[in-house]
Amino acid sequence: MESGILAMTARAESFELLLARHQATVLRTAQRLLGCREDAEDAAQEVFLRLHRHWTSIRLEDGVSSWLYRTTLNVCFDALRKRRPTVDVELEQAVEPDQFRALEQDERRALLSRALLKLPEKERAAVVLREIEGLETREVAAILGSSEETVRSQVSTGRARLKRILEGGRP
Amino acid sequence: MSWTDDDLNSALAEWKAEEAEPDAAFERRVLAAVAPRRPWWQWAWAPALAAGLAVWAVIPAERPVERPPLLARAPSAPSPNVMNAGCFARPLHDCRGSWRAASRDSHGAATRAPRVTFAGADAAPATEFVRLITDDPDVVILWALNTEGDGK
Repeated sequence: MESGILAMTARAESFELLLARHQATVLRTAQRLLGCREDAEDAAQEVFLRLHRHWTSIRLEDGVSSWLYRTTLNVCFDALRKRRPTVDVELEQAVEPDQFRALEQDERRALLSRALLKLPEKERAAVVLREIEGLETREVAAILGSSEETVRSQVSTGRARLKRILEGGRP
Repeated sequence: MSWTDDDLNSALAEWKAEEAEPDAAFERRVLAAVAPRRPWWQWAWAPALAAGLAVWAVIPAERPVERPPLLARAPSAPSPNVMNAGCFARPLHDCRGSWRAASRDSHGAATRAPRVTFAGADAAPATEFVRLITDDPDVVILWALNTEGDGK
């Protein structure tokens, strides 16, 4: 009985530590994938609820970061599928690099976020994880469950598509 | 003017360098959401206890019946001393001789208190005879008891 209480206490403390350590990353990734702070908070909360629910079955030796990234992607894509009809945003007009640099930081971020939302899910995930989060190709491949070659291809295709979107063309 | 890889890299680099600040409000929100909640079956004891108390209050307990105090003990039936059981099968006047003989046999002492003898315990329950033996061997008192009705 006492050992059970101790285990529960230790588990709760570990969860709080993990939450404190990873919440910023999860929130940031969710916001980059969803383009909206409120939606990102909802998604990040769902990620940590799942972490808490499956706490005993998660293999931490694999790295909780990978699990968190993978779950964040799944939760965010689920949310995007539910709201897809209302998020089919179009860029108002083509944005040239000079114009882009002249924009305020918030505007630049919003513009990139909208351009990212036009990418297919896998490409968006690969670009966000590899190009923005800065993960290694190997880590991205492990998170997405694909090969490194596939990840490289998705990143390359995603970047090209992103440039076309910013230039005002069709993705 | 089209976007080059460098343009895109610089745009993404700015976003990449952006550090997200820990959000205490978000942390509190998550901790509140994962706060342990008792599943429904862990609250089942409450209505069960309430129902038990209600039953206990409404239905009176079955109390053990106290035995009344023993005021008197019923006398045990006297052992019948049948002097001459065979005479009860015959008419009364035919038994006189045997009574007398029995009376003479039992007159060893000069003076004796009257002795009450229950006879005919096995006889018909309607009439019982009690024979009283006196000091005079020629005097025998027979007492017929009616065991039915108020005569007893």
